[in-house]
Amino acid sequence: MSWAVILALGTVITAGIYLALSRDLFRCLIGLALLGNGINLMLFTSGRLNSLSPPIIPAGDTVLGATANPLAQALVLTAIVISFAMLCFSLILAIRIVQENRSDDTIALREAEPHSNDPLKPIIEDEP
Amino acid sequence: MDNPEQNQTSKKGPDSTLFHLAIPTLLFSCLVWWLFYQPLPWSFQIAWVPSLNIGFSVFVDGLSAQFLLMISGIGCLVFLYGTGYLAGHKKANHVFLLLLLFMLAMIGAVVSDNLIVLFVFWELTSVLSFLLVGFNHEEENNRKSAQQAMLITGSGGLCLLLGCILLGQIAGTYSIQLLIARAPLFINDPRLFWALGFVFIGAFTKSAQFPFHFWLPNAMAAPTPVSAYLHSATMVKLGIYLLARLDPAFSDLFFWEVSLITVGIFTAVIAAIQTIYERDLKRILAWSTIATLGTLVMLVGMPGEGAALATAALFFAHALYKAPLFFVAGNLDHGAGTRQIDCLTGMRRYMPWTATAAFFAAISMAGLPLTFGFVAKDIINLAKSQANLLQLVSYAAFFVNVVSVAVAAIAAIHIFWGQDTIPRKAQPHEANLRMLFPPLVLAATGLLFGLRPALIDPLLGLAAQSMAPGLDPNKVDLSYDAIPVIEATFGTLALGLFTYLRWDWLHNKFNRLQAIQKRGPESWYNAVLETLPLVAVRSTRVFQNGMLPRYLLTLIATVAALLATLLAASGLNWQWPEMESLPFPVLGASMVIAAGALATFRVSDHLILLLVGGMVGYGSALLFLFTGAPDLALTQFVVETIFVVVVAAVLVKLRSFRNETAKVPPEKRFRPLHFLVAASFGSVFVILCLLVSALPFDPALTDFYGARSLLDANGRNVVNIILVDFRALDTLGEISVLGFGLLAAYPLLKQIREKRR
Amino acid sequence: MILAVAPLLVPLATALLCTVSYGSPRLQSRFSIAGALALLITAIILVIEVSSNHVVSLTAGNWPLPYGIEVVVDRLGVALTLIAALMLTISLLWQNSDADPAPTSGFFHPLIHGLVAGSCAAFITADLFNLYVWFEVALICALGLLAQGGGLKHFDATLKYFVLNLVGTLLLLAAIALTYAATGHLNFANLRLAVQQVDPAVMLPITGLLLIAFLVKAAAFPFFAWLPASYHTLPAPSLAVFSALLSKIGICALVRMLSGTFHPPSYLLMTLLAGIALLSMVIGVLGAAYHWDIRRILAFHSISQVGYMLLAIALSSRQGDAATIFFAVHHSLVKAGLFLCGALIFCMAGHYDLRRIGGLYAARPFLSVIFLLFALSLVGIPPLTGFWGKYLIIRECLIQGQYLWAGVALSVGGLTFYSMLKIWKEAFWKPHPDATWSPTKEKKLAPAYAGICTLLFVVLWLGLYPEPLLVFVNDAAMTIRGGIP
Repeated sequence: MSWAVILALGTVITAGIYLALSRDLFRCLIGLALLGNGINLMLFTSGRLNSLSPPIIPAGDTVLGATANPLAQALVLTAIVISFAMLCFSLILAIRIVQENRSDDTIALREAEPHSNDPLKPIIEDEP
Repeated sequence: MDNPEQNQTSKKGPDSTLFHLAIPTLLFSCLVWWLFYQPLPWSFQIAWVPSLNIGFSVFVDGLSAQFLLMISGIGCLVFLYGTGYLAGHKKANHVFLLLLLFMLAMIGAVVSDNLIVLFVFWELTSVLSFLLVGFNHEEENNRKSAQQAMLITGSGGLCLLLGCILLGQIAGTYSIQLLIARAPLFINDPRLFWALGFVFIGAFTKSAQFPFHFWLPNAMAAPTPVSAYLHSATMVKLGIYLLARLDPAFSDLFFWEVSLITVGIFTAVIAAIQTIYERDLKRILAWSTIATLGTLVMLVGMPGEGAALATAALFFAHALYKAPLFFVAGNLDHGAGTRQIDCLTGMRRYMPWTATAAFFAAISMAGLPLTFGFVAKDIINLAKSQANLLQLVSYAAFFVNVVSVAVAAIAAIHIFWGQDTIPRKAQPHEANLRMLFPPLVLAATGLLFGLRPALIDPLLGLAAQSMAPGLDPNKVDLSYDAIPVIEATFGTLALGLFTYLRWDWLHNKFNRLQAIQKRGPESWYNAVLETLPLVAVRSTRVFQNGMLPRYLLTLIATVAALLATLLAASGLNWQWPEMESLPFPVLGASMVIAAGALATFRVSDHLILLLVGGMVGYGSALLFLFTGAPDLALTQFVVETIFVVVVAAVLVKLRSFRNETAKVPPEKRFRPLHFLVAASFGSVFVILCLLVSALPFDPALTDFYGARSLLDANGRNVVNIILVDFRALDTLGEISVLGFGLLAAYPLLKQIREKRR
Repeated sequence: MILAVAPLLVPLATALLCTVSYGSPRLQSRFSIAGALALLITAIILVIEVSSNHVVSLTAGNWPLPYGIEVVVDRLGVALTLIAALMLTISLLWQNSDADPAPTSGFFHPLIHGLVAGSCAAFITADLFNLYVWFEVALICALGLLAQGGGLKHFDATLKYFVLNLVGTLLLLAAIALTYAATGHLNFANLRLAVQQVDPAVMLPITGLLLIAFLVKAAAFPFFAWLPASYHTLPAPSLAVFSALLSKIGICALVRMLSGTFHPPSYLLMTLLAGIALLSMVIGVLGAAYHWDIRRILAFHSISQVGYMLLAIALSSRQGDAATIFFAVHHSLVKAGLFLCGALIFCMAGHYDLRRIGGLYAARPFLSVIFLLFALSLVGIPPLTGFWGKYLIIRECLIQGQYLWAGVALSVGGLTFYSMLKIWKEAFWKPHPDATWSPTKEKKLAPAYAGICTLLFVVLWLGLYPEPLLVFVNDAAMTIRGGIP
């Protein structure tokens, strides 16, 4: 079972990295989302996929039987929420950037580290 | 030119003079009094950093005492001179403060027995010297000179630190006295070569030895009292002091002897040649200082007790004649407005007292009889004859002496005698009392010790004993038999005067050597300083190129490469997990995930990309659902839906913002390099995941949660119980991320809305 | 003891109060200062507790170990917490001055407390996954503070910071997943035992990945790009906290992992780490030599200084760890001090670029002395803190026979000197390029000077009398290695 999931998450990570390396801002962010997704799957498989039954103590029992790993699930749940928050922030940031810069090319985005024509020295920036 | 305001307010003058003089004079008088009563050597300890075995262990023997007297004695006169020289200057107080700190640092350096503590003070003197050289910092040249002095002595200091730590390791102690005592035990240690090599670099940079000598003439940018004090009398001798201190431990080493004698005499010769093609009196004095420093290094390197005595004598003699000559240069600068020897002749008429001081200092420098310089020269000759030197070294030393006679003649005769034929704006005038007293006192002291060398016998004897422990200080007798020595000195004097008379001719001859000078050590320094920005610009523009995709590429490629290396290093006999039977829903979900991921490679439109990317999310939700994680499935489903819907809305909106006439060429449809990096990164992760899933799993944590969730935490859904109870701290963090995320995003949202209006 | 979680609860609660009082700036800044002082007091009490009782720890929910999340305040954690509290207080004080304060939008206070909460929690947590969570808290607050500026420059910086750091935390998450899969544990102490049972061939790349994740956070070569891309866009109060805390999160985690949990680390890994350290030192200092903007120069020096700390970790000995912690303390104080000096220079001379300013030695001698002392300390001139840090590292290098490492460390010291001299020459000694310039007088700078003098006092005290800190870091290193001092 783990083979299939691991290979799948491998493709997700590869695709995520490939997209993230793009200079297109939205591809980059979607790539990061995919990367996060792939790594969440990694975390999920880290608890082993031995059982298909949910980790809920059935009525009448007091102790959990042989079920899926609840700890890995809890960790993934936390990670999903966190990466969701991060992505939402990044999207809003991206909108602001495109709004200001009129371009979603990250190579053209050189505001914080401007290009210098001088062979030796950085350019002098104007202070606000 | 550091010509300060000349018209001082007489009202304020005396008060501040007393004020500035108070501490140095107090120090000096206490020292003299104390040395009179205190049998040497004297030592005591204060704990400072016991955990590193670094303590203030003060050890005062003859050598330290000699330095203490020079530091405080000349210090007093420098302060007095400074009050005259800098009167009315608006930053004069800064100079006095720095000089005072310098004085304390020097005292600290020469009394401390711990190598590291000595280094601490050593570095402080370098920094203070930097600040003083750059005192007139409005001019770029002075700033550069200060920087040069600091970088050279600072780098030397770093080497010295290395050397000291190594020495400490080899000897097992940082105490110089213990090190000397234990020297026979480790004298054959192969690391000693490196340790001493680094100590040498430190000492040579500080004491301006070849090839680090060039900073000293440039340091003449400092005000004259500073030059006299730091760059002639005290600080530049600190390097030699350290070598002299270590001399008893290593003088038997062939390496020690050869390096010091070679470097010393070579420096002396180079400096003597350089002296001739200077025209600025202060720079002439600086070069001749370097020549003397070279001679001192050579004397430290020479074996024998006579050499030790000669070193001690020359330390003293040089301080007594060079400092007054610097003061004279300052007086000329002050009174005549120039230090160029071409513009200075016949000054005797305007500045009789300065001329007197110059005369007495110069005859001592030239080594004429009845001066202390003569005494020193006598002892040096004796030491040389004892030490079996190469004939070449003797010739070189002779040449250096000839030039120093010529320099003395320049200072005493050329400048003050003859006719003043140069037209000037203002008539030169004599310096005030505060600037006359110090050179006169020093020159007179030189004369006194020359006439009655017995007065200084005990001190020099003790100082020499610190360098050559076998020497009995009570048997030292500096009195000399004048006739044979005069005969020996006669040649030097005659040739020296000849050099003086043909100074201009030699100057022109030597000017042809300028080509060599252009390739000398200073040009190496400049080359390094010019290369540094070139290297810096290259490396910085490569690694900090301002382009996000390249940053990310570097990061990912490095991670992939490092992990691949580590995987390969672990032996490649990997254990794969077993291929279990695969439930169809899990396989299906995995395939949805993989298909979604693969499809993203081919899609160019943002909206479709979003949907395809969504497939991965929904596929994961399905996978969670089929593998016993319904809570996860639900969360993933909700999150993914919100994400896709929101992003789609955003994308539609954003089309209106984008300016389609972007300057950069559009991205290629397929990026092979990026794909390669992504694929290797992905494969490394797949291998890692497979490797760990083949390992046995330790279920201790989950077993506990399964067993206690209902009993102790009253919940049947174990995942929820873990989140809200067992690992509640994670959930606190998660909520914090959400909350702070809102706070972080809110101003941006507000701006977006404002901007749209 | 409940006190153990105070370093994260106090700033979190303060952040909450500041958020609630969003509408009333005066109330908000009072809450904020009160919170910072409370954290400072907590940290001081913790220092006293830890010095006498070895560690202060708490398991959330009182579950037996290793089932609950444990918070362990040891000497390393408490030292960094104290620095965080001190920097936070100074930064909030600074916010009241006119020297490049943060925009007063009402979001600065909650976010900076959040940043401190995340960092402090990361310093003291003893659970791997929990560490990840607090990393993310610190990250999102840092992003919020960066984006506060509101200009495209700030957004650019935020984006670069975000992308590279997010990848860093994702790498950490991946490493956590692999570690959990291999050992079944997350608590540091239990991991330490469990790691020994796992095939070292598998454990090596996992440790490597964990190391890389922390290296990204520590801004080591070649993962540092986010730091020089963003720091110079920050206002002074945020910058001081950033420079003091953020790279230390990575360093602190690295020390804990390599000397505690995953001890003994493999020789290969340590050699790679040393290589990264040396390159960070060199490339960082070259970047500083290239730049002319004071903040950018200092930001690049941070990378070079991180190199020193990594080198000390790579020595993988108790003395090496002690050197790392000493250096971390030194660097936090001195670098923040220098950045704040930079803000004062900006405030007086009107620009951060050295080519546009000058004449400050004549105009502001007091500021010159402050800057000089911080700069010399950074360079490692004795007897200031930097000297002791470098001395510890170089001595340990020489003891272990790593002459090349010692040589590079010393040469980089020389280059550091070069670029500090550049600032000194250009900003202080050179006459101001605008001949009509005179420093503005009617600005409110008393809080700024109070803050920077406090820092200077601490730096001078630790430099002239380093013994207590040296003993403390030695014990800290021993604690990390599982010993009891």
